[in-house]
Amino acid sequence: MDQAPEKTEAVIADPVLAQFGSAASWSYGNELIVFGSKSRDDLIDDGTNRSTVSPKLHAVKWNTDIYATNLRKILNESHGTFLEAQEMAKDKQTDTTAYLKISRGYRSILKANIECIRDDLENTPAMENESQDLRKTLESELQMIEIIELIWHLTEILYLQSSTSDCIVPVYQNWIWSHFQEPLTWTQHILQQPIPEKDARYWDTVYGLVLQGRTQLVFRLLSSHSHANNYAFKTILHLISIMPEFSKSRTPGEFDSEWRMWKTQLSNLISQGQLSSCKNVELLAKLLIGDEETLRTHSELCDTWYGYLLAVLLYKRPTAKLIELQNFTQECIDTFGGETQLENWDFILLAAIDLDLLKTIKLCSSSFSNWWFPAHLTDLLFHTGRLDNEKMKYGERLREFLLLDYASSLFSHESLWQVGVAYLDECKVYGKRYLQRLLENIPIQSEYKARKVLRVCQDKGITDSYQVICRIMSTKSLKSQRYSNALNWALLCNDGKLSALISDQIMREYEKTGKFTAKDVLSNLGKRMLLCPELTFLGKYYEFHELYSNKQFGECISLIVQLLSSNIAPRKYWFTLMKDIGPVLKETHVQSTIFEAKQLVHFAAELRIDFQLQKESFDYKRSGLAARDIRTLKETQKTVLETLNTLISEYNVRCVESVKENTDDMDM
Amino acid sequence: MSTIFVKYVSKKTKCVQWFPTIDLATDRPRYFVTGSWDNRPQNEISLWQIEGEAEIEDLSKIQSVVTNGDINNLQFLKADLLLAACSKKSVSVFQVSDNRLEHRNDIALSKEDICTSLISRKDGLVVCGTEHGQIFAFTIENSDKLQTLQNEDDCVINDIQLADQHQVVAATSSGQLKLWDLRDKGSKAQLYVQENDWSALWCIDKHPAQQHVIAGGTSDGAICIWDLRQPKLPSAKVEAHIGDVLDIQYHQSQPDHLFTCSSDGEIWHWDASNIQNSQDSQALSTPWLACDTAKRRIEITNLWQSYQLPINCLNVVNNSLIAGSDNEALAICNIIIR
Repeated sequence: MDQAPEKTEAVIADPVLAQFGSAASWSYGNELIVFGSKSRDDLIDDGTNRSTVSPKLHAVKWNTDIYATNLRKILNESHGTFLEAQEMAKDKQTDTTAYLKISRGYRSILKANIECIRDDLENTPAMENESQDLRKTLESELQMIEIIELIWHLTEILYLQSSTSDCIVPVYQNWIWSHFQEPLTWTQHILQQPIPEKDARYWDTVYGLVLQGRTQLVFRLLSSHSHANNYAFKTILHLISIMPEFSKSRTPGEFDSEWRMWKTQLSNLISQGQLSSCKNVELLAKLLIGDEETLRTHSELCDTWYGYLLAVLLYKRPTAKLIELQNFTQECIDTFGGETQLENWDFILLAAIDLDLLKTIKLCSSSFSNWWFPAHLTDLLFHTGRLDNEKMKYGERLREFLLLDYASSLFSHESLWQVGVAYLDECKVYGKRYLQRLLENIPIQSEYKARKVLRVCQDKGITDSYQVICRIMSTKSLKSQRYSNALNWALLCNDGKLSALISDQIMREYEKTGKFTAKDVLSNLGKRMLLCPELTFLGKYYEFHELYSNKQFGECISLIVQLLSSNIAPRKYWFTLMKDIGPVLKETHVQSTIFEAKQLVHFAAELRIDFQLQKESFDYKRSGLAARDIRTLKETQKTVLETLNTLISEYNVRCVESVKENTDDMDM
Repeated sequence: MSTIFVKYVSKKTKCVQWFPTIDLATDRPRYFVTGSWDNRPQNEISLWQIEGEAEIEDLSKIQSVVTNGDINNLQFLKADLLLAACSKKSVSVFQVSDNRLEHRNDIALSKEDICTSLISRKDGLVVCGTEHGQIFAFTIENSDKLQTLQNEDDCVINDIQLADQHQVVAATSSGQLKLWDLRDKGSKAQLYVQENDWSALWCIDKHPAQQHVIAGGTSDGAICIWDLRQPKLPSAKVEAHIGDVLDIQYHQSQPDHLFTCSSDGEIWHWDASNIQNSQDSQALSTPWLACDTAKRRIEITNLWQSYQLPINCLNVVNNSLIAGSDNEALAICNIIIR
């Protein structure tokens, strides 16, 4: 709760900021990006040495209370309730009682956590210094959740439980009863005493009970008094026992006239002085008839103006309708010192009682440093149709706005981003765009997290972010030379260009070291090989090596010829291919067709021309190779080409001979 | 009806493991450990105690050890020795005494790499897989002597198992299952793949009685059953969850029962005991090898739903299943095995 905004300072040690002033821009959720207010060019113009100044971006983040351990439980648990409410809305559920259940669901989560924090507080020793901070945090958390629950409960009774024509007093009484149980606790305590009225708090407790309308307990306390048989006691006890109670079985009109009669009876007794034998009883009777002066002087027993409001309603207008509530608030607030004495949350309650929903939501948003409360409350009220009245034509937009803010704040937390997804899902206008931006900005520290983000993209159909994440992961892997992982990511998003780049890298790596770096992935490419020509080539080329190591030389040659003739093999790899075919050709028992042999001769010739052209045009200086390397390279190329030509000639002879033999055999 | 106890713990749980000692009164361990992930500023290994006897009344955290980086896996080597695969420190070893964890030592595997999974053998052998596709084997008493298994690619090792005393099986992000024999040093892995499918393999478990039968869960929501004696392709594949199957486990004493959890926020109990009974004549060693053709006879029960957020891990002992999820809840289900 923002009572007095506290100033928090964070120092950014950056000479650029000190020198040129700082500027900031909003990032997502609870984050600002701070940077030097002048551009890099300005810095250089100022004559500053370029190398010493490196402008940086600083991300400044701040925590909000929802990140606290206990509140995180509420976030996660209420996520389920939120989804239930959305399901109901999808089923076109319009029955308010169904949403009342949802509202109670939210409140029971809050209440469970209140209990939990109280337990924690009990288990935290009050005296030790170390636990002081913890206690403080717990206490402030407790206070906040209690207030949220108090406000939520009030809006629930005002907007979900009652209609404007209903008598509001019984439900309002319920609300006060469930949040202010002090008189109840005292009653129990006093009744356990041997002589109850000796307790200093006896009469204050009686009055407190009267002000809350807990007449049964008043009766019990009075009966326990040792003078209970005195006339004044007997009279008041009798009158309390016949005090009319509001119930649904009779009309407000009936109740009202009964209550007036009863009140007149009691007033008469007071004016006749029949109760004057006991001043305390007489005072009590004055409270019961709603004597203004007496009520006011005992108002502090109600603790708050809204507690006092109950007393005013009970004894001055017990049949008040929902819309009449606001007529009594000013009187109560004035009794409690006027508006200057009010806290933030008092104004929220006041707005709720005034049935000004917009103001209620606005104040909820500005008074709490979390969006949890306004977002969930607004969503619920929206589903019940309370937001769409004459006054508020933009109910749906308001709901979306609050959900977006809540979700963004979840996304700016490292761990809670997954919970935010469901909320963005409900934002029909901006949800998807927000989700896309937020997903792409999640810091990814591990492959596991990347996959989790990817799953969300997949489930929510955000293909752009899916692609972006796959590409980032692929490029990251490529940078650290994890080729198979890079390829795996590129294949996951069907990125042809990236796959081509990686395939080239793998080939280059192979040419350098003579080893394949991504064997297991390459061996299992399947139809994915067709994604781009480079990958097709790489896959086929890997197949060639597999065939070779299995000594399937015939298939090796067929494959190479196929690669060359079908244009699958990029020209830059011809040399490698022809170099590799050397050892295959050496195998004397190779059987092949004349066609393949002819093809090989043809490609060797092509390669020779290529090589000549390359020799003339190749700019060795630009290639960055050392003179010795160039010489070696040239020599290797030359030797390989020569050997290959010889081998191909020999191989051709062998092929022709074997073909001849075959035909001879056939002739015979 | 199976009963369920849920507690919100303010941390996303990535791994969970029951203590090895079982409480005779309740037929389940009284303690378990969890490891969190993706939390700011730190993650923690937590030790929990179940309050209540037959009915679980509450879970209380009796200890938590703070770590940098995610806790990717937890394994009890023995009743008194816990191993943790941590993002930042590789493998951390904890001594367990009087239901408390005491940090013993860390074993650094490789810089810039993350230990994603580990498995141990009773005699002290530990095998770990990393994000960069490396596999290391060492003994707990001699942890500075790392043996590296030869891997032909660098995709992420998502899970690792010991199929028998010497066979290491690893699941990769490229959807392959790889098998090494520890006795054959420097040997290449034997590859098992999915047919025309490259979805990542998240998790694997070996059949407790027939160790050559490996069940795996994929990122496409399928479960695959490989018979390691058969080449390459799985014997059976069943489409199951809508999201990634993030963890899988056979019931140790009733292996016709299998448990999976998924990113769609569900935990499934697979009961294949009907297949076994009806195919007696064919003397099938295990129903799982034919579970795709007999899919209709598998009974699947959804044990828990976590409202669309991933359930990352599960661990079953006797009639108790514990699961950890990304909605920061721990769930303990009482499972019924007929």
